[in-house]
Amino acid sequence: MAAGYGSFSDGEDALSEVIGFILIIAVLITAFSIWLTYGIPVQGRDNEISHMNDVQDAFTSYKIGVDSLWVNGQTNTVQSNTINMGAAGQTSQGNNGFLPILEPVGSSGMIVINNRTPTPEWLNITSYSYITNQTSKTNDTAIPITSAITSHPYQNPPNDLLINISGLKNVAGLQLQPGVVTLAVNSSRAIFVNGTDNTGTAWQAWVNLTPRYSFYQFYNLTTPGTSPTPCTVAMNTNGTAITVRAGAGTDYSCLFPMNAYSFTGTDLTLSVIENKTRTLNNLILYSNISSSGTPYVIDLLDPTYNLVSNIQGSSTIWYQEYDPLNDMADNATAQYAYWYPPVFNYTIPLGALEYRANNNYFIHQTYYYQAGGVFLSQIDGITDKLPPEITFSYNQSGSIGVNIIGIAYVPSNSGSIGGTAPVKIGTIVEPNLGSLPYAPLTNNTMNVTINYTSPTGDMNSILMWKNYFQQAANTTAGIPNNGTFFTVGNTTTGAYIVVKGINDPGNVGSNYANPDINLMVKAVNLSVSIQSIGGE
Amino acid sequence: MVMAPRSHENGVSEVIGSILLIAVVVAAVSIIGIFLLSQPLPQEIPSLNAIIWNDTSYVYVKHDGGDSLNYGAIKLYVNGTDETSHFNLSTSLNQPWTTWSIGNTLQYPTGSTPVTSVEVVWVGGGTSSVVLTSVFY
Repeated sequence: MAAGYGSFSDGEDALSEVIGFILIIAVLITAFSIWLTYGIPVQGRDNEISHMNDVQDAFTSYKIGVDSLWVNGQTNTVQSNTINMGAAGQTSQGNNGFLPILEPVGSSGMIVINNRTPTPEWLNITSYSYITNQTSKTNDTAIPITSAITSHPYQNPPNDLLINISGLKNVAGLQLQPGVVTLAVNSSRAIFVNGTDNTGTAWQAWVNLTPRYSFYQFYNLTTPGTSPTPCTVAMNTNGTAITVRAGAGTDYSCLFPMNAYSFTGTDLTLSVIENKTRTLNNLILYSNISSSGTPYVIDLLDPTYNLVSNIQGSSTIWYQEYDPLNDMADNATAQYAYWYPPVFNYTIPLGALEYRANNNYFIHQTYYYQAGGVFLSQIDGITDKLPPEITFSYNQSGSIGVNIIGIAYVPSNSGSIGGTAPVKIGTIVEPNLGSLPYAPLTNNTMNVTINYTSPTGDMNSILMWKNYFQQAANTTAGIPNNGTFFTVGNTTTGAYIVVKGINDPGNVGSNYANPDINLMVKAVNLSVSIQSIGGE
Repeated sequence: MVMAPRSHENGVSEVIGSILLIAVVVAAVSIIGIFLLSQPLPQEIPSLNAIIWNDTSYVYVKHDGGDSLNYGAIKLYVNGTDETSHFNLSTSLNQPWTTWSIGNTLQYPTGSTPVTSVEVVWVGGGTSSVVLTSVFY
């Protein structure tokens, strides 16, 4: 019995220890469950939010790097950036790394080139602009210049404004007859050209036929006479007469000194007045011109004369000649080094460089670089984190600037890398960097339409571009949002902005000679490569 | 014959003690469980970026990425006053908004009152948290 009682007593001890152990395990499991249920997702979400901020910073750095290439004209120079793929790499070295179940599952990511859409999205720029055409200049009708004031309107700002002078007379050097002081050739032969440019600056230019003279003195000899003092007779002398006695007789002659001028030739000169200030005074264009040979041609738009903006900004120019002796024949001819097609198109296939996050706890996000901007895409929309290189400007006189940097990835570049290992991105600017042939005038465009097209009809990106156009034109540039200067809209396949100057042909009272939009488009083509650089 | 009654008395005492111990532990676990379960489920404070700016006519608040927010989940204070109901999406000015998501801009007509401050406050989950604030000088 004693042994039996002893055995019963041992069983009671074991029951207490097992229950206590089970209770301890239960408490641990409860705490662990609470951590897994609440702690892990919060930590994982925080990790992924932090990583997405890092991705945004990486794209910002990428934009700055690429911008520095095209701004400085650095072609074929590689710009390298690295992006960490997913949040796993940032958390695997944490305190609980020895037990993976105690830390969040790391996210992964994917770098994708030119695969946002099956075919590239594109920007189309349609404008009514002056387009440079340096290969063959076209001549406008010659405007005869006469003594009557003649005005001539210029629908397009000329590239050259030629003053042609021919049929010259009385321009060669001529030794005058002794004693003749009044010149036969009138010194006042000139062509007047003047106007007022679009900034209100009045300008005038004179093309002068400027005669040149040299001074000399000669003696006028009188015939011999018998007067004892013949040389005291005044004969328009310019000095003391010299008496000459002929031999021993009473005959005398006198030498009277006379001043005279010799006409040595004619120079063709130019004088300019801008805003009541003389900026050129008888600048010699041709020296000692002759009356034979080819006509003399003066291009008033030669930059030397500093009249380019004045003449090109004047919708009307006045001409007049002063030529009382009819010594010359002259006319004015405008030449154009650009043409004026009603529609000029340029299309930019954009492409994109994307980072697609595969988040486990935070919402899925995709950052991408396109058209010089950094965008964030989510399932419910897209926003521009950094704006694309399409900007506007506006001044209160109604002049609008439209500046487009057509940054595009070479369409043949494509590929993707996914996972958690960092990826290196190498980007170069192709050698065909350059501006499009919009005429380099102060204002060169009547109207311009920028159209973004999504081949898949992605309404998120369409609405984003529409909002960007609105914000860039109105909020940022300050262009009045009253329908006069710009309109923004969208279709099922794209978004657009139409910018019109107040001189647009569609507006009443428009003036073709004064476009008030300055359109500048630069083409920047990027070639990109990606490679994984190892990892966990 | 003398030892058996004493063993019984000991056994009763140990069993009662174990039962009491279990009862105490169960009660403690129950209290802890009730305490935990009675708490509201943890709410994720929304993570989002927003931009606030103004002009002579409107105050604008643009959602610049992150979690979407429903109408009842945030309050928009202008000059310290709750003006949530007077904000509209810029794309549909005449309709009340229901969801504020990425890329959307809320705008508020300022009228003649100068705006000095704008606050976006998240009020979901029974708690409140300032998401964004901007002060105009």
